[in-house]
Order: sequence, then C-alpha cells, then structure tokens
Amino acid sequence: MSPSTLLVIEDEAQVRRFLRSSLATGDYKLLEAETGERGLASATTHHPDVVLLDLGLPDMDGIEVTRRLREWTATPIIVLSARGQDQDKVAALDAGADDYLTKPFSLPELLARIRVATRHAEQRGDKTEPVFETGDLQIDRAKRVVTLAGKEVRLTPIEYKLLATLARKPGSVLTYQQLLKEVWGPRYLTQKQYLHVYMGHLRNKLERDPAKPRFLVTEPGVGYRLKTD
Amino acid sequence: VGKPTHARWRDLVRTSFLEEIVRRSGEIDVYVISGEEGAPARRAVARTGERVPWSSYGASVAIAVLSTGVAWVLFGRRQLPDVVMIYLLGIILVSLRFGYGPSVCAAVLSVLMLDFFFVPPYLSFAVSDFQHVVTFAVMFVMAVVISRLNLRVRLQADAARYGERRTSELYAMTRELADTRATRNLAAVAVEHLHDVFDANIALLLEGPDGQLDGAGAGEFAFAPEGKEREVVDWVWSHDKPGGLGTDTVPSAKALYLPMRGAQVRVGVLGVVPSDPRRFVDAEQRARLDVFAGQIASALERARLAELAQQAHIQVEAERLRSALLSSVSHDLRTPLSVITGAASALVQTDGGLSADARQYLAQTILEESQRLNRLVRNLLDMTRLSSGVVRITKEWQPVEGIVGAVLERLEEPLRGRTVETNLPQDLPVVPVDGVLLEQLLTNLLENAVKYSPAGTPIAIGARREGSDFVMEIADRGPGVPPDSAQKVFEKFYRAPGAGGGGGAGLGLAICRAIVEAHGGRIWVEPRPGGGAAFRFSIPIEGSPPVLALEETA
Repeated sequence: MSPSTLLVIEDEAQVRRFLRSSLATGDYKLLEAETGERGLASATTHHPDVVLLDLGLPDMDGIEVTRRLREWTATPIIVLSARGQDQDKVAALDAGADDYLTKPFSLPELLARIRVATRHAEQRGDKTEPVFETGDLQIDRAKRVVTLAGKEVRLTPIEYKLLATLARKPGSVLTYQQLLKEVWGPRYLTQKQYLHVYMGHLRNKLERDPAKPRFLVTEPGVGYRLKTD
Repeated sequence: VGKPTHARWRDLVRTSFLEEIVRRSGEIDVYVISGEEGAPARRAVARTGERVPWSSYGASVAIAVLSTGVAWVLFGRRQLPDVVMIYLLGIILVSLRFGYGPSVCAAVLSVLMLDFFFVPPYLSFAVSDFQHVVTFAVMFVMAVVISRLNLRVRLQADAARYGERRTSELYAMTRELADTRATRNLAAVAVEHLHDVFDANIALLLEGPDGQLDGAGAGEFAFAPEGKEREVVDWVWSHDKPGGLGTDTVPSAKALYLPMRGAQVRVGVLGVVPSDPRRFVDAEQRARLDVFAGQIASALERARLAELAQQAHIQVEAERLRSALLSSVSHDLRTPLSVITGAASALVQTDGGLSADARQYLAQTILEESQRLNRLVRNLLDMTRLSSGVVRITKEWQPVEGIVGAVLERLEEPLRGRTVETNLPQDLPVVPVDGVLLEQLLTNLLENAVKYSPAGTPIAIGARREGSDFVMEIADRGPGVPPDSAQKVFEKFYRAPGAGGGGGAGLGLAICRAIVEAHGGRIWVEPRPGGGAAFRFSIPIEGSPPVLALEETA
C-alpha cells in the first residue's frame, strides 16, 4: 500500500514541524500549507487522502476552507481547534468536516483520527456493505436487525435510524444538526432535546453501563460518536 | 426677530416685544421675519366638549316643539304654571343630553312659544300683562342656570376622566420603564409610549461613553435629526434649554427638543415631532411632555448608573484576576516550564550519553509537566471566560450518563490504576443542564479527586434525584477537607495548605462553583463516611422536560 498523503493547513510553523517530524515515518507523506488559499491550491493539485485543517488561519476561517473543499471533494477533513473555538469547530463539522481534535493533542490521538478518516474514505467506494460490526454489536442494514452478543435488540424506528446514521461514519463525530436532519428531518434542527432523549433510550438498550459506554459516546456541545475498536 | 402674530389691539394695551426691541436697539439693525401664517392657536385637546354639531340644535328645536304639543294636550291654556314646568323639563333634557348651547337655544324658543301659544293675546308675541313678562324672565333665568350647572358637572367629569387618563398613561410608561433594564430597551419603551400619548414621532439622543450624543430610539415612530435639526439638538444639549418648534430658539424646526435631566446628570435630548405642529403651544400639553421627559430621564439615568456599577464590578473583578494571574504566572506556570526546559535540554545536549531508560524518563516528565501546564492554562482561560460573562449557558434537557461517560473517557489517562465506581440509577431523570459546562464541572471535580487522593485509591460517582433537585457526588478516599476550609476551597486561588506538589492555580473548584451557580444550584463538600471527601452539587430541575411524540415499538 502506498503511503497516504496528508495535507496540513496550519499557520504555526512549530505545529507543522511537530507534525512533520512525527508523521513522516514512511506511512504518511506530508504536504504543508500555511494559509487557507495555499491549502486549497495544494488540495486541487495533489488530491490528499486526509486534510488536517487548523481553525485559526490568518487569511480565511476554517469553516470557509471546509466549505470550499466540500464543493468538489469528499476527502476526509480533520479540524484542529483550540479551546474557545467550540462554535467554529461545530460550524466546520456542520459544513462537512469529518472530525476534530482539540489542541493540544497527542500523537496517538491524531493517528487514531487519521486511521478512522482513511477507513471511511475506503468504505465510501463500496457502500453496500450490508452488515456493520463493532465489538459484539452487529447492525444488519439489509434486514434492519440489530444484535448484541448474538441476541436481537428491539429498537423503535427512530432508534434504529439514529444508530444506523451513526454507523455510517463509525468512529467519527456526527453533529447534533447532522443527526437531527438525517433522523427527524430538516424541520427539527433545533430539537436537540429529542436527540438527547432518544440517545438515552438507545444507550439503555445497548450499553451495559451507560456511564462507561462501549459504543455510543457523547461529545458534549458537539454531537455523538459511534466508537469502534 | 419673529413677526408678532397676536391681534393688534393687544399692542395698544401692552408695549409689544417687537416695539421694545426696536426702541432699545440703538445702532443695531433689526430684521423682522414673518413665520408661517397659521391658524390661531387652539387647544389641541378639546376639553370643553367638542364643537356641538348642528343636529343638536335641531334636536333642541324639536324638543321645544314637542314640549309645546305635550303642554297643549295636557293642560291647554288654563294652567300656565304647569305649562311652564313642561317647558322647563324639555330644557333640562336638552341640557343633559346636548350641552349648553342647544339648551340656551331651547330656552329662548320655549319662552317665545310660551308667549305665542299660551299667553294672551294668543298667536302673537305681544304681551298684555306685565306679570307674564316676569314669568318669562324667571323661566329663562332658571333654564340658563340649570344649563350652566349641568355644563359645570359635565366639565368636571370630563376633567376627572382626562386627568385619570393622563395619570394612567404616565403610570403605564413608568411601570414599563421600571421593568426594563438595558438602556436600548428603555429607549424603545420610551419612544413607543411618547408616540402613543402625544401622537408624535420621537427622537431620543443619549450621551454615549465618548460624551457625544447618539441616536438611541429605533422603530417605526423614531426619527433621526439631521442637518439643521441636528444643530438644534446640539444647541439644546450645550445650553441645557428647550429649543426648536414652539420655543424662542429656531421655532421653524420640525421638532421640539428638550434636554433630559435625571436627578444628578443630564442623559440626553428628547425630540418630539407632533403630527399637529401646534400641539405644544398648549401650556398644559407642554407641561405634560416635561413630566414624561423627566420620568424617562430618570429611568435612563438609573439604567446608566446600574451599567456603570456593573462595569466597575467587572473591572474590579478583572483586576483581581489579573493580579492573581500574575502571581500564578510567576510561580505555578514557571514550575512546569522549568522542568520541561530542563528535561528537554538534557535530551537535546547529552545526545547519546543517556541510557534509553533515562531518555524515556525525561520524555515522560516533559509529557506530564506539559499536561499540567495545559490544565493550568485551561483553568485560567475558563475562569476568565466564566467571570467575564463570555460563556453563555444553554440548558437542554438531557440524560447525564452520556456526559459522565465522555468525562471518564477523556480522563482515562489520569484515572488509570483506579477503580471508578459509577452509581447512576436506571431511572435517573433528564436534567436541564448545559452539556459542555457540566462536562467541565465533572472534569474538574474528578481531576481534583485524583490530585488530592493517593494513587490507586477508588473514586465514586453518584447521582440521584432529591425532591426537585438533581444531586451528583464525586467522592474520594483521600485525607478529606477540614471543616474550617470547607467553604474556602471553592474560592478563587485558594489552595489547601500542604497540597504543594500537584499545585494548580487554585481555580478548579472555583470554576465548579461558577458553573453550578450559573445553573441556579449550589456546591459543597462533606466528609465521606469511611474517610475521604465527598463533593456534592445540586441543580434544580425546573419546568418539565419536552414531551416527545410517542413512538410505537418496532
């Protein structure tokens, strides 16, 4: 397998240097851009496998970069945000970014996010995979049946839809807006409470200890994530 | 000088203002400018009753005729006193129903008809007996007196009703002003009421922080003085006197401008463009406008003083935070920084000379210290944001299990080697909380527990409903908190004596308290049975969770 190409759009040289020295180990080929414009240009020419996008760029905000990338490519975008940029982070995710990392982050965290992102990109090719599995949870999309440790779990249509939506991008965070739009429809974008409550139901049915979830992870203020191993 | 508009005869009685000026001007040329010739000033609000319509006079004639008919049928020509009574009754009815003018008209008609039909010589206005002239006079005087009395009663009722309306209008505005906080909202309330009461468009210009006047009122009834109007505003502001329409200064302006004075300071200028430009010629209306302006001014002044006090409070708080931050920077931030610098320079300079174990140890130290630094900076940032009001709380009904889960996952590293016992009942209610803030709250409490209890000791997280409160508890098996510092631990920059080593900035629990209080709850610490500290907080469960459309089980 050829090394994946990563495009880092980040204005701070130190962060780029850290990424360069820790990622360029043979598995990844690193492209760097210090402004949004250059990042967009580089993405057009090199078609990277994953984009790492800083939210505090000098020339344009990360939300704008995300939007312009999404006009023509489905390449996974991982947003790097600092504390205090929570709203921008959610906006970038709503605009089509796949995941986020809050600075400061550790290398293992970053590598895990990149792996999840590249896995999605590969799966997008053959979407028709009918059965999704993580741990002892199995979702059969063709039969609309969910089993936990071999035993069927009875879900309401909304619960099933919620779970299936999360399973479409396992490991990645889905924002409240994305989930509400997908499961309830665009008229319900402000009804976060529906989501919280149904998520609680789903968790009670699927988790042994809802406070130590194995599958359904809350990202407070952002959304939910289906954990994969 | 404006050309006088009053009647010439008044100049005969009093020396006119104009004459006076011309006489005393000496060398100075005096130009007389004529204003717009308008209708003579009339009271804007009719108080002596509206102009009586012609139909009322018609009715008074009809009633006089009717009285004649009734008297004729009942009494004929024999009982003159009874006939007079019938006429008087008719006149009273007219004066009650149609007012003074028509009743005088009815009185005149009645006397004429009495003479014509009932007093000999009949069907003639001539009077043969002088006694009848007296009867006519008495009847007429009585009719007029009764009409006057009725008129006065009516005027008093009108005045009372009018006074009551005035008071209630003023009261309505004052009450709404009292309920309104921010200056901008006050301005909107004032503009609306002034428009309703005075049928006018309103300009409200308030002194800004830079000492300049800025337009504050907005909405469909607001107008913004520009050009010449603005000059009048500035004149009014600098001279602290009324100007514009209906005053001696630039009476040709569209609006009447009044300076607005509170109890201590001036707050701005009020401009009023009445739909009837003559409205404020009426002294009563002017006085009333002054009363309204005074109320608005004192409300605005109150709001401004409150805002100043608030700002001063924030400044003091920020100042305190800044100085505490400085002392933090000098000590707490430097410790991890010097450790990191030392360890990193050792790695860089003694390249090759260190054993793999030593290198690993140094790298581990750098990692731990930078995490500590990160925690410190994060707390300082959070505290600043919480106390400066940047963070806005958005409560949503949600189950807390997910948030507990998120926190435990995030703190996986520092919690390694400990058992975390979660005790969340299945039937835990959904709670109205801000998810992000609750996460931060639990994170800080858990980090605190980790910091102050020996490695490897268990930590317990519990939650339950107590009446209308949601209560959570994070309990450790550390040394506990001595009773005399149970309150102090939640204060900013407080550090438990002897905590030394793991030292943060002493902000973690202060942040917790700020978050809990933002939810309307409280936080406290108790000794845990069997040893250790139990930090508890309660958040009121107010209102009821949203009702979800029921869904059938698939």
